[in-house]
Amino acid sequence: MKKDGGEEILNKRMSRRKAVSTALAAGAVVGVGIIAGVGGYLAGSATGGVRTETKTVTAGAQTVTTTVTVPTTMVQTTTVERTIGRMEPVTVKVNWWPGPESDAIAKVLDRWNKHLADETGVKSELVLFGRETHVDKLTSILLAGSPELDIVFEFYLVGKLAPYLEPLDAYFADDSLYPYTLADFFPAAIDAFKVDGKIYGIPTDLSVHVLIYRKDLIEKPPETLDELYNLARKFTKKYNPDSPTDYGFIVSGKTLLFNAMLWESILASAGGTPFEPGKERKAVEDLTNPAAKRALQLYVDFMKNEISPPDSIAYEYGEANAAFQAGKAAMYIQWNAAIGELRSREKSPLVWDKIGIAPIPGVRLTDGSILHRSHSHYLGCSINKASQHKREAFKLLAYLTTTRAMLDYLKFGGFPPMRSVFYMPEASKIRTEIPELIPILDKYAFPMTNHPEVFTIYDILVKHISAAWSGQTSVDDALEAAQEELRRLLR
Amino acid sequence: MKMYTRDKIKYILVLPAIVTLLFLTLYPTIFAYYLSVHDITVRTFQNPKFVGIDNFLQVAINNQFWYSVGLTTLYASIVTPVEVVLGLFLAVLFNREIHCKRVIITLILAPLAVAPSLIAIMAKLMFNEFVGLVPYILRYFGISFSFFRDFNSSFSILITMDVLQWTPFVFIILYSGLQALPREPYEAALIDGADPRRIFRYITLPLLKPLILLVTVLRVMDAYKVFEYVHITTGGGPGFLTTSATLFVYRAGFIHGNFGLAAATTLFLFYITVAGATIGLRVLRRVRII
Repeated sequence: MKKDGGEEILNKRMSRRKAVSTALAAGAVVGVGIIAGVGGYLAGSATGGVRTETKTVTAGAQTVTTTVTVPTTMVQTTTVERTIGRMEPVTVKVNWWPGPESDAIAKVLDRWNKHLADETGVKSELVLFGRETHVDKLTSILLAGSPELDIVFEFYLVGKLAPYLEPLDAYFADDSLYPYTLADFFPAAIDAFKVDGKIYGIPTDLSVHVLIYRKDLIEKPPETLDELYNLARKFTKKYNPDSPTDYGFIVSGKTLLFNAMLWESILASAGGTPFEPGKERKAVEDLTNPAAKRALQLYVDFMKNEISPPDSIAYEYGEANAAFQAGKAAMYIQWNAAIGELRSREKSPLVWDKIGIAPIPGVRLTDGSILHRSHSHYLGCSINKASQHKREAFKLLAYLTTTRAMLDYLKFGGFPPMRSVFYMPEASKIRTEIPELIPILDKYAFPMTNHPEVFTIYDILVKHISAAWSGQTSVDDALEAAQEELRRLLR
Repeated sequence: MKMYTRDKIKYILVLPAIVTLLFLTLYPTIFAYYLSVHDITVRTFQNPKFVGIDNFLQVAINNQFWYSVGLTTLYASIVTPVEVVLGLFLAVLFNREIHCKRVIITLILAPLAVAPSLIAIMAKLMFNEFVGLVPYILRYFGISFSFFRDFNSSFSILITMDVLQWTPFVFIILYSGLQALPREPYEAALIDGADPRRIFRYITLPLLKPLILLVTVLRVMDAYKVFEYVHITTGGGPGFLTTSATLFVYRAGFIHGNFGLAAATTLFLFYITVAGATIGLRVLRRVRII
């Protein structure tokens, strides 16, 4: 036993010796390196002078020319640092909303990494959360002051999250950082990212509501709410056994705040006051007026009379699309994002060539015209205030405001609110709905509020109005209850 | 001296576990109390205002909160007995030689390996009127039914999901218990000529009682935390009708961004459940069930 122990000790001693000798060898190597470095530095100092390097890089349609003046005296080391910097660019972590938007941005970022990462010294890395938990995780990260994300995709939460986001005005004002223009975006899109006059982000996606209908069945889409109801009734089997569709309309009826937004387009087209920026209190006060009651009564009638599928009470975006794709319904109100999927032969084999788009039906005004209004909002990205790479993040963000990047984004599935992209013939070929959407955007779209309590507003609203269309309460009681709770919130 | 060192070492060895545990439980608990007495929202997160018991008062007078507590209690009081009875039935059924027993047990346990959110998504698809398998089969037999049409049907779907996912949990615990029971009382009962029903009533049930109680407590606790099924399938609707207590907290915290109110609601809920459990245990002791 003792012998074994002795051997062990001996082994240990030997290994210590080994370690010491290794350390000495390493020290010697480092020492030689230092001496060589100092020698090199002194040699560099002796030469002196200035050198100018011009480099041109072409990435797709963009050509970037950089001129760097490099003093060759004491900055030999600097040159080395630059070389190292180029070899390992700063990685900017970009968070995006998972789904078609993230599929699109992934390809745009791939191009950036391939063509511009070396030149700019900025590499991008896409970070995705689950679709259901995106907002929760993002809010938690920003509130915690965590620098783990540099660019964050926040949809219409800019009013709420502004204290945790970097104001971008100074960056946009700096020509060396931002040689492009924001004027190409729809003005409302930029306004949507302003809080107290400061810009906190850039828009990348536009969402607007439209009436989607079966153009093989309906020659002329309904223009008024009465026409909508009557036509929907006509295409419901319960009332017309010869109807080619089971139901005339699909209500997205789940208690989900986004469904309150869909109803808001009906509210506004009925003459009610929607939640627009700065008009939130008025919207609340007008919530019990006849127009609002009429708008809610329409949904109640759709549900009560089974013109909409009975279980549409639990429908959201996906279920409503599925019902329409299955050829079971004649019309519904949906986000423009659905059109691409509906017009895809692979995804919608039954209806892909039968999709019509029209403005939201409204009421006839005293001058004979018809009021059409569509809720619209913008999705986009901002820079995390706690980011440790804000300037690098801005370089990438700036690139996303270029026509080149946004055209790519559109090609791959995004929907950027940029005029030059919208009017490109190439864009209309890729996204056939663009010519149909332009008049809706120009004439009827209203922007959604960017109030800090935007989610709460719509959550309270949907809780009460869905109680009405599910038959739990009357239209009057639902709107009064919503008004009361919203008054308390905005007090 | 040696003993003293040994004692010291054993404490040092468990220290990391204790520190981790304290960090994971004590810190969030203290932080929850801190949040609950502050007006703390996304906007005021950096400069919260002390509001004392205001948040608790707001919760106490909120009808929707009490409704959600009532609904969750109803939910727990339905799913727990159903799961325990079904789990016990399965455990007794499989506590004998059956062909392909291992394969069948593995299949029965499969739902346990699936995340509740996935179960909810699958249920949403399975019961969808147009693309769902269940309505399709029903239509084949001439029955047309919408599964999410009102409160009753939506609530039934929520209960079905819970029962499908968690009965296997009850089953595996009770089945393990049955396997470990001593053989002697059964042999004695058989010699005395007891029939299987009496053996179950007077031997199996009393011997399994501690496990049945344990599994009941675990299921009640879990059922009170129901969130994913409701959030994904009904969103708390129609209207507010299927909003569970946890969904109420989630809405207050993450949709409305009112962390103070959400924390106060959580603590309120904690006190209610502790009070409920204490009363329940006393009643059970009084009627000599435990």
